[in-house]
Amino acid sequence: MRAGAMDIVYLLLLFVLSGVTLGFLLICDRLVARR
Amino acid sequence: MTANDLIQVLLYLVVLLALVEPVGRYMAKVFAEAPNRITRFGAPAERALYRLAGIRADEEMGWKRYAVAMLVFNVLGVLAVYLLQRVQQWLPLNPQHFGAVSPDSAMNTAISFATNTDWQSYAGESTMSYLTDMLALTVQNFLSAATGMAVLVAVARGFARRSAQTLGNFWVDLTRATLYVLLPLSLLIGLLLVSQGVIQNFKPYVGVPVVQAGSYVVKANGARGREVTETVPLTAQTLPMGPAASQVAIKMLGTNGGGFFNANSAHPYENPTPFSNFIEMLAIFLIPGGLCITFGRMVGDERQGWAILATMLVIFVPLALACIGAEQAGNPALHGLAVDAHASALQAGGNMEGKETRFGVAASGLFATITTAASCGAVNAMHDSFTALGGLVPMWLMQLGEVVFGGVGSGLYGMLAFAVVAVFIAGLMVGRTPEYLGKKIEAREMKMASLAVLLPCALVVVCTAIAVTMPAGVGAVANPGAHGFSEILYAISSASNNNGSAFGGLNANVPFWNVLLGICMFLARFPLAIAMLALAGSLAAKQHMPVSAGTLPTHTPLFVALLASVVIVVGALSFLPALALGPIAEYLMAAH
Repeated sequence: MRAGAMDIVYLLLLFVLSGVTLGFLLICDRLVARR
Repeated sequence: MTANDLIQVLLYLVVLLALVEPVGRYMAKVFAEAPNRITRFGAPAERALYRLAGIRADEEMGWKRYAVAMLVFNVLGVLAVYLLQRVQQWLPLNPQHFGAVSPDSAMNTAISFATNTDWQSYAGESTMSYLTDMLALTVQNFLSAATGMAVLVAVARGFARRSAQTLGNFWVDLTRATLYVLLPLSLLIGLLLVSQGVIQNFKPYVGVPVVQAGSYVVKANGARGREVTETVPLTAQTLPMGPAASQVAIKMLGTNGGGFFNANSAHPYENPTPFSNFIEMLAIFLIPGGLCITFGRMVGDERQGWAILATMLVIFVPLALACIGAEQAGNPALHGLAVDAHASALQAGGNMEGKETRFGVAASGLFATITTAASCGAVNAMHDSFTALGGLVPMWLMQLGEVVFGGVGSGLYGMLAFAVVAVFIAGLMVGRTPEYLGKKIEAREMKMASLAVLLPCALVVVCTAIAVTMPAGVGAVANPGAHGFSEILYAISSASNNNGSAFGGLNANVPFWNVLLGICMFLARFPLAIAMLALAGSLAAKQHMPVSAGTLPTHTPLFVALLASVVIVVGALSFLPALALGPIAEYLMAAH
């Protein structure tokens, strides 16, 4: 695959990892919430 | 073990313990909420930076806002480092005309440096331009270390504050860590290293004739696919140059570990003398050790910080001695072969394979344990060449979660997660609600502490299982059998605990490994920090509980023993089966 296409693939990977981490933050928020 | 080995370890510990208290107290003032002499001195520079970045320094952040600021800042850092590597061929300060770094290696490196890991799948002197080294990698060395310190300070405020909704301001903590701690200390260490011969220049690489000309034989494919051998004369060599000292100083102080050269601190331009080696080892533990004292002062009881520091030492010292002892004893496979492996006036003795003669066994073993106890990852000897048991120690130190000193800031907040688990276990034993530093520990805090403790363990075992079942994973291993498994386990333990050191023997600069290790590094760094910020946010909102007869004192030797036991038991339960397949099996095969 061309380097330009691979750039997009790896930037998407970073985007997914950031999304997973933000999702983890939301889970933590639920877990520490006071009822 | 020789007297020389013991004296070196003892000298190191004495100097370290003499320095951690003043450094820790200084950092406590840097992060203090009330203005003091230090923050007043730097106030004009601070104000200018805040104005430039549009930051309101007096604005407090709740844990979620703090965490999002931390995450967004670091993801932007990953992007910047990635882009700089991909376009370095068009940018200045590239005298060797290096081309763009490949996309998979660039992403791996960008995540690696932004997460304070500094795992390097590339060779610095044949890949990175001086501009990339300075603007991308060195800048991230500062910022990733400052991020760890900022998160730790926020966690400390979580313990110290009462009925509070906020943990401070991420931008202020980040700026102060860089401006008052990392920059001045780096300048000092950098100058000390230059005085020993570490290079700092922008010259193109230098070609010099070799002292003794020789030749070497290479095999090549000749006509009709026949293999031919060719003798190549060796009359000249290339000496790499560059701004090394400025990067080496912060790579040690910030527990980053990314070498300017491929051989890292084994390279004579990066670590030329035994004194520079001592300075580098000292720099690795200086801030993580000092932060224990800072933490104690921030929570209003310095003894708490000393207790955590003592716990770290209780685990570190025996393991350092075990590693040096194993290396000094040499390879057990050679014991029956009449090989003289004893130390004498004429030889270092023990296992000197992969070690620099200017450092010897003790300084190599000590460096290896320091760099893996802290999440530094710089190496002055090749860990792949250590004996099986000597190599087990650095690997297990990483697997303990990088909490024995650990990364700048991250080591201590990791240890605080273990402390929460320890008081919980103590509470279970006596049937009382656990409390730590005057804060009641309830289910929600335990969930966060458990996540912080178990996340790196899960990453290591799951990703090692993936690697050993994939052809691309196993195909990168240079050695078959138990040692090859150790190479895989070490690499994933290193990435999943943000250490960055390499065992070696693993051809990791291929897409499979670059992606797998990149994911490990990212998920080990940010979710763990978020779990600790959530824990801090929950604690900050609580009232302080007065000390009662049922309170477990957390500054006593008893608590030190309990905390050390929890760290060791979690590490042993999680990794003994995997270690049995790697270094333990290798040792048994060599010994019998």
